Amino acid sequence: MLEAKGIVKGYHESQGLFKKRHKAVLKGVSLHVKRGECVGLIGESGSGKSTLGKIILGIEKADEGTISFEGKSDKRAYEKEMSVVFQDYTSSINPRFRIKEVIAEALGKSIACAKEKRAYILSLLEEVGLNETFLERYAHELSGGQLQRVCIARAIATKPKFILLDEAVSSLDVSVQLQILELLKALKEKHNLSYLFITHDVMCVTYLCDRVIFFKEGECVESVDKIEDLKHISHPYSKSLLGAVEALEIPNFC
Amino acid sequence: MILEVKNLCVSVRTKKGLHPLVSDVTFNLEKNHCLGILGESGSGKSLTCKAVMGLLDANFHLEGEVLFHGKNILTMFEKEKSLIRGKEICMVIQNPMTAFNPLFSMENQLLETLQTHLHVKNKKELLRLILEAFEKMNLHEGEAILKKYPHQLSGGMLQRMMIALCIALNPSVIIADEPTTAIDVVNQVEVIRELKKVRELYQTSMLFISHDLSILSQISDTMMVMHQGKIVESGRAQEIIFSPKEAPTKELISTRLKLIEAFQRCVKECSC
Ligand SMILES: Nc1ncnc2c1ncn2[C@@H]1O[C@H](COP(=O)(O)OP(=O)(O)OP(=O)(O)O)[C@@H](O)[C@H]1O
Ligand SMILES: Nc1ncnc2c1ncn2[C@@H]1O[C@H](COP(=O)(O)OP(=O)(O)OP(=O)(O)O)[C@@H](O)[C@H]1O
Ligand SMILES: [Mg+2]
Ligand SMILES: [Mg+2]
Repeated sequence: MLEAKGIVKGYHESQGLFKKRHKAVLKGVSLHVKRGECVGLIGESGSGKSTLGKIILGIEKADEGTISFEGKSDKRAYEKEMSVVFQDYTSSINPRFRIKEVIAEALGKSIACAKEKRAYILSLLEEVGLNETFLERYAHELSGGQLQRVCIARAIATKPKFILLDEAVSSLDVSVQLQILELLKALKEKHNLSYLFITHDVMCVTYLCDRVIFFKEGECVESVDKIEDLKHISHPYSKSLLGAVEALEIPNFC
Repeated sequence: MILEVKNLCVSVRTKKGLHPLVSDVTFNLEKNHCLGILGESGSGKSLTCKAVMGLLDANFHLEGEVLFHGKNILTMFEKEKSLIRGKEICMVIQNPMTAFNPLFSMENQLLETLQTHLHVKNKKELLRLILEAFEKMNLHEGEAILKKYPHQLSGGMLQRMMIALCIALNPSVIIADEPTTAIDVVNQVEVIRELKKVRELYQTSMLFISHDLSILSQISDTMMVMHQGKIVESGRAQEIIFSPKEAPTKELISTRLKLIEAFQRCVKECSC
């Protein structure tokens, strides 16, 4: 459904006053996401995951390579089918909007009746574990995790076909995290949604995703097609990553 | 005793009167001690820290005492507070992407912060200090990073820069509010190791907030669990993790275990 081919992206970096240097962030990345599939993208911090996400959404332009969505490569044709939860959740919400307005804005004019709209917004908030008291609040009156959940509610509000989740569950405590993961799983089954799930939390990936791609320094270094095959990975980076997870988690719980 | 928090209550002023958010929080922080705070989303962890730092504005009503070396931060004047903030108590705030001013380059901001708190005027010396801290946080090409603006850096990089700044300031208390949410696991291990080293070297005290049990279990000596603005359980980290007593703690721990199980099913090799 979604296909990215040979994406290359670089930025100019200033060194000294006038000298500039080109630094490649993405070095020819190709990936595809099928209908109803969840692909996890794990990688080092600063390896270009969010940049890839922005290119897929058409917020940034790639230097080379193409993005196509259901065969269409014109951004305007598929814009409405996609939605996103940004890593940078605080600045993706207008601070002058109340929470209900934040979600209403995403809905646009699709629901005319005000009462119906309010009920729908409330049902979305309830799905992410928030309640009525949040409707009238402003973004700065919420905790980090609550705001992140508002962003998730906003992303699923328009019933898109594809959602890009960039570190969408990182500030949530485990029980809410699990609730969101379950919600995403249920939505996926119900509406045949697809996700690109960018995260550094290997646990969440194994819980939700069908496929995993390991990302390092702007390249896909390894991809695992079946999540059960995770133990057969061979690339040193993905190995060291899983090693670190085990070192961090497991000794303390066994 | 470096920091003593006694019966701290935070409530917000609304049209309908005071609405309590944090109530009756009491804890102590000794030298070279790390207190981990665990709690679900919205349980008041960040508010507690902000209150301790004296960062809450007039919208909030505060009760109780926050004693830093015996002096109450809550009743201090702004000027006195700003002397303590940065030099004595340093905070890593929750969302890395809003921590820095988008209008200035990183070099500008970091050096200025260091300059005001360390009273070192020599720019070269400061630069060396910050680059050294970057290296510890596994941030290479430090000079190139310093030239950038916040929006040109990734979330994990900003977060590590904030921790680096904190380490460079060398305060006596570090308050870290979810400092590892945007960092990949390999670097998380690195960051934790570095923070532990800092503690050994300078006997820094730490208040470490996280929803990530595994990280807390790695770094903290004692732990405190918050639920709906109250402390429900506190004690030695080991005890809380292995034999939680209260329902909220039990739930947090058992859900994490559920995720770990899903993970282990995929990586069966683990001999557990
Ligand atoms: N506008 C920009 N100008 C210059 N460099 C940029 C810009 N945006 C991103 N970069 C650089 O691109 C690299 C990748 O950034 P990106 O945000 O994609 O990382 P990431 O993989 O999402 O990391 P994280 O897990 O920490 O969020 C970084 O080194 C960053 O400095
Ligand atoms: N300015 C405010 N006005 C009203 N309520 C507020 C305000 N700021 C925070 N709150 C509420 O106080 C509670 C505690 O917030 P806090 O930011 O301390 O949570 P937290 O424990 O840090 O959670 P998280 O893990 O999600 O960051 C939340 O329910 C939040 O909605
Ligand atoms: Mg990112
Ligand atoms: Mg918080």
